[in-house]
Amino acid sequence: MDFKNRLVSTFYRAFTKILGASFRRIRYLVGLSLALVTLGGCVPAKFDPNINYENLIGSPLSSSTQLLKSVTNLKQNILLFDRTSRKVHLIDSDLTEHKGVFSVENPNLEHYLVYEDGKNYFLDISKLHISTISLNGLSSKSNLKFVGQPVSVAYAPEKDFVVFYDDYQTLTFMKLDPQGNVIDSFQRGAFYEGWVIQAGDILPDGRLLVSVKGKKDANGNPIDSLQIIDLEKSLENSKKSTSGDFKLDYQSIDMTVHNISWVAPIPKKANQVLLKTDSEIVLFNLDTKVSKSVTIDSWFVEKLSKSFDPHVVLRKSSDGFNTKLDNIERRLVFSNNDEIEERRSTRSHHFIISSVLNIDENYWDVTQAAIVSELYLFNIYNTYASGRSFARFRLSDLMALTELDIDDRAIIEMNQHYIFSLFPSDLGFITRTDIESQSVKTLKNFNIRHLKN
Amino acid sequence: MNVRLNITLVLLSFSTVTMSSTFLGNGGQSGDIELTVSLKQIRAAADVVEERSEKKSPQLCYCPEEYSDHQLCEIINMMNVAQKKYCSDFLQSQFSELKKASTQTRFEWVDESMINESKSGSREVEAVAQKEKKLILIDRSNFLERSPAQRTFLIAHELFHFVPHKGGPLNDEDPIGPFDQANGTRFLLNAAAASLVMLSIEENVYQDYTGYLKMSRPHRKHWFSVDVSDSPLKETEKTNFNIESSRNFKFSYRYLLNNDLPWFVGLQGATGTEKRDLFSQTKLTRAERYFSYGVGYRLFPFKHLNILDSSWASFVLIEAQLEHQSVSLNFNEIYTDYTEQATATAPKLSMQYFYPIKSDFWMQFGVDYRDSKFYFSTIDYELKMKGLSFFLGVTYGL
Repeated sequence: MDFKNRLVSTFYRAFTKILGASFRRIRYLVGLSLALVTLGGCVPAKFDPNINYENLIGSPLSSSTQLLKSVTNLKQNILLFDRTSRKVHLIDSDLTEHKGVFSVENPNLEHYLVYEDGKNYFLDISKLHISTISLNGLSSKSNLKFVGQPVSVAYAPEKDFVVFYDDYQTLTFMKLDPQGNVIDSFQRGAFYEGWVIQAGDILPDGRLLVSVKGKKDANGNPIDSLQIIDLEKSLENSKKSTSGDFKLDYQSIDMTVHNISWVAPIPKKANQVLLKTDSEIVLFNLDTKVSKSVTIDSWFVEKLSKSFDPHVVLRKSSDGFNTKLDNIERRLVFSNNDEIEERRSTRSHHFIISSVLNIDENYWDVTQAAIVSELYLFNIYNTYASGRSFARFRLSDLMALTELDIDDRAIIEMNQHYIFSLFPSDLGFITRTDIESQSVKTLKNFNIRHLKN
Repeated sequence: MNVRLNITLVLLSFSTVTMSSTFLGNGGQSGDIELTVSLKQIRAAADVVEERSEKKSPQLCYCPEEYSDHQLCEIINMMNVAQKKYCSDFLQSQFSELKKASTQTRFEWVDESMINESKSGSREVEAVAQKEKKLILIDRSNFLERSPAQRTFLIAHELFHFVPHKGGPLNDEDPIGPFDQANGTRFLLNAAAASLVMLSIEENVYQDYTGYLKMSRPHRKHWFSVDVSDSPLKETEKTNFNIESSRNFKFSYRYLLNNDLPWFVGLQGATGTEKRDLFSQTKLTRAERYFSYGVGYRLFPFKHLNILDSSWASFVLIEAQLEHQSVSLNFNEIYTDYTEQATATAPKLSMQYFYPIKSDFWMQFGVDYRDSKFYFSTIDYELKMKGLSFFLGVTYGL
């Protein structure tokens, strides 16, 4: 966080503390005022994976939380990039042990981690590199050439498949071994056989599902299509190609909707996907080709989230600065039991910076902020945002179950049970807040061994 | 308990080591400087007498008007005119003998009460002149309790016993000249000694030597020192934790076992704390604590000099101690803090030079030699102290 933003945040905290009045209300008003004054000075970095445009494959790097999947076991590995020590920490979610620390390439850059609990490796990404790092500490840097900068990633941990997408729409597929070493890979551009890739994601079985456009039907009308790309077969094709431009092995499903800018496979339903077009949210069955949809109309898309269950948050007003002052409507759109469902809310929230839906557990988690430097379409915990808080709602009736404040200074990561906060501490300081009980556990001084040199 | 002893019997039968000691012994003794100052004042007073003797009918036995309330003037004012004349003549005729006696007479300290047997009976005395031995015995504690003027008066009186007045010794009990009562000689010698002191005060030559009475005395028993030194700690490899320099403060207590045996036993504690900033927000504090005990041996390299030369009292102290050492590192920041401590026990050698300032204050400087290592296992960090560290300080002797 640069000096100016830190100053704003500090002033904001001091001011609301002194007043000691209705914290939330005043906090918002002050934050709003400050935001109006300061936002003009908050220029996003040139490399900004917190992108707001759609048409990505997988999730933006900033949303590449390792905790995309709902986990039932309470003890899992957590990886956090420490912006103070510029290293990656491995801790267990029980916070009894600091299990390891990893040095990274280009430590002074922002780092994004892709990890699945139970795996022996994780992916470390910055604007200048992609590396796989085994939990034994061994690192291998990808020697693939990247012209653009990576903006999104799709990961199928069961198959050890990773697909990167950069800002030149270069698609990079990597096949890894259980230790995270790149066994095989291919790269190609987004255009093939008259089609151009719009968006996509990787299916649990390792196939890549993409939305494409570019062709016309017999009547000259534009056709959009969903294509299921067999990555392994395409990989074989790439090996046989001498020109570098090889044939993708795919099945194509022509669609009646257009401009499919967001593709979200439904977990545990290998044949279903949630799609967003410019006018609809569509639940599509890849096998039966049946679709169910709801219209977006003039509603503003506030959040596209694939955590844990894909969903879309729509807001009636696009004016983010009026969020608090008016009771505004929100629609939470998701798929359940092969149907599209909605929940409506007229409660005024802060800016929603992250939205996580867990249909099985019947909750909707929202991370909010009083001040944001920009309205992010995708989930983001740790960019410039001040006055963060977490709220859990019961999905069935949107009853509020929990609310917790989040320290502005912390880098956070969450699973369904805990919020992990890594503080900018030289010596190392992490807290784990139990979402239900709100009890706090602490792990500290784990950097002390690494300070000497 | 004050034991009364018969001087003549006791001093012959007991060893002088147990109850008396020679003036200007090893390292200087209690009373040496006072006695030296008195002798200097007596010689200076004799010079005044000599100077005045060149005039016709000099006035020598009188009390100067501006010092009329001086205690010694009581004795002078008891004399009648004839006695004052006699006293004056006595001083005129004996000043050179007095000077000679002041350089040729030996002095010994006695640390017990002295009883003098005489024709008039026994009485406790503060000093005794043994003419045949050219020796004056002085009761040290009583001598030191007197004022400086009284001390000079006492020594002058005893030295007068060695001057050959009219061919014979001067015995206190005998009448002499206009001092024709019993103990008339004592009256004369007291008056002459008092007059000598008052003359030297009037001429300011007495005051030339009183400053020496503030000299720091090396025979003090208890020594309290404070020193400042550079921390001896150094890293064994270059790390982020390096603290370039820090100061330690040492506090010492030493006890002089015996003035004739120049041995000390001592206790010492030292402490030092230094802080520095580490990374963006951490404060590193390094604290050192040392506690040591041991023995020391003292040498006087300038004993050949005059006792009133300040360098005469200076000495070199060599010590060997066993030191318990503790170093702790504390890392403190807004979220958390961490402390680790390492300890060691090792011998320490020191050598320092003490130089007297004034009024039992001394300054000293010296070096310590140590060889220790401290390992902080959690942070894998090692410090060592090997070699010399210098220190400088002040001491008070009590």
